[in-house]
Amino acid sequence: MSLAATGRREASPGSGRKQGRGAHRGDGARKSSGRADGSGVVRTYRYAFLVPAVAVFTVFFLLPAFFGMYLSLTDASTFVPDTRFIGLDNYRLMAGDSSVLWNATCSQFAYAACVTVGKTVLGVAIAFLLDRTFRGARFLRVVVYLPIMFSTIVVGLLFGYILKADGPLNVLLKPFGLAQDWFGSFDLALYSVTAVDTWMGVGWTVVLVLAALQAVPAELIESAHLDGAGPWQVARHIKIPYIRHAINLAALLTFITGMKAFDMIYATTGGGPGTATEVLTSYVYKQLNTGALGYAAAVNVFQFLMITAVALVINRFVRRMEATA
Amino acid sequence: MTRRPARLRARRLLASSATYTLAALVALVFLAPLYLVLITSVKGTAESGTMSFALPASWHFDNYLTVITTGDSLQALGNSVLIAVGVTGGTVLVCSMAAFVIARRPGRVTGGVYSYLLTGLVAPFAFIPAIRLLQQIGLGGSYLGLILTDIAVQIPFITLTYVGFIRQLPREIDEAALLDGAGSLRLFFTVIFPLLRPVSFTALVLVFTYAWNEFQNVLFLIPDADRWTLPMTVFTFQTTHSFDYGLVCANLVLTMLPVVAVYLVAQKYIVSGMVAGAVKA
Repeated sequence: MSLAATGRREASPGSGRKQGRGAHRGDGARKSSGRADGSGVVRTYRYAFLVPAVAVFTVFFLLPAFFGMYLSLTDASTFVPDTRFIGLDNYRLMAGDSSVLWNATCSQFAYAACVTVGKTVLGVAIAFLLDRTFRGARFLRVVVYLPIMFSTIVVGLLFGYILKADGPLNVLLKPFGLAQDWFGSFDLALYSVTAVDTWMGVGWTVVLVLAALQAVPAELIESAHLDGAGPWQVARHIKIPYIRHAINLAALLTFITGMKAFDMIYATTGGGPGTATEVLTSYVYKQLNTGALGYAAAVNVFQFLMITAVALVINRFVRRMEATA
Repeated sequence: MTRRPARLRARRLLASSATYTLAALVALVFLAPLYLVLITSVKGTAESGTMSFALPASWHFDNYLTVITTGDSLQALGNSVLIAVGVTGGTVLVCSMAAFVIARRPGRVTGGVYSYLLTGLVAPFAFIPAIRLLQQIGLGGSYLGLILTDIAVQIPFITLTYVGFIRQLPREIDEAALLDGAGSLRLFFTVIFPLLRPVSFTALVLVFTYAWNEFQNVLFLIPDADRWTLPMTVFTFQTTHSFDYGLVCANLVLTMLPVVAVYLVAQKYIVSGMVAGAVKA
């Protein structure tokens, strides 16, 4: 879920917003525990406890990444067991396919950008709505969060039916002349998929922004009211600046997730029509179906490097924002 | 003097009616698709074909029975439970243990291990080479290979959550247990682990829903359809029963049901987990 960890800020679970305090308390406890230091520490807090996590993480997460670099230099196939070292041939092949790859990369960025704008704008709006007190607010919150729990495949299939050319949405829109071939149109398909993704994931942004909104000190809002500020002014000049950090964070994490998006596309359009919604992973999947493991690995390496680079840049961004905040 | 309260009241009325209108709109957008899938799931073959908002002319609750008895649903349910339980149990165990030592014994080794594990939060999982790697260590296409892979994907984030929590636990607890003669294993499992319940519950819910819904790893790492999880079989079911939306929707509902149940029971933990997770990022 969260990818841009800096490692130096652990929040206290449960009251995550006020990280600083938890960390300080931890420091205090460490210093005051004179007795457990020295040989007691070595016997009590054994390094052996680290081994299972490190072993599983190394073998099943990190090793594939390095193994992939090797595979990308071979003619490995899913059909034949033996592989031959072929140098940079797969990468030359990639360069030959550069227009296809470029198209997939652009789609991936466009997808990430659309999802980020959609989830952030609507998420902030819904969070403001849920921050008001009205009857049914709790129920509405449950409803908005619910789709996060569903499988992307299930949501994708469901909307595949709803957005069909003769599906229920078009039946509703037809009298107004707004019916569209949502997933079948070359121009619309990518946006339709991001809309479904937004429907499913906007609740996550709402969770974050609403938590931040509810942490805005009541005195701040009250004193603004006393100064004669209306609800819009309070929102713009008091609340938004106060929750800007949460909004930025939600947007950036949404973007990274969008850079890896595949499930929703696979479940709705499968990359089509044509290559209108083809992203990097769906391209890789297609290559894999032809058995070309080595080539798929090469594309995977490219994807890996690109996502890591984007994530690092974003990480930088978050840190700098934290420093200025 | 009398004009002002009247205007204030009018404005308040306007604001609250705007609130309710927007709330109703949001509720509609989120509930209409769910209503559609529910209502279609109890319609007969001919009627479900149009997928409309209308109530069914005849109620076909037997759709659910058909799905359970004809599809691979039961097999897939078993697979899902096995995988989700394995991933959840494994992740909670290895992460809480590692986090305990990382939090309690600050130093170069633990600091290095911690940073090492956290690289997984930035780097994406390389699923293509994982296929061949699992084959070569004899775990290709197996439940165990998938479970260990899913655990590895979850380790960075869940360890982070545990470390943050354990750092807040007073050390006096450890010392008291040590004075009673507890060894490190007993200290951890009988004293510390029970105290981690709040964060364990959050981890449990997050990892369970991840493993339940996870799709990409199943698709790439498990070629054998007999070992697929429920969400995956929804796909195959849809292809074989594309003529009968009633059955497909009943299948979708059955797949959603377990996570909805988990959600309604554990809502509080899910929300606190998501907030904690993102703030840490």
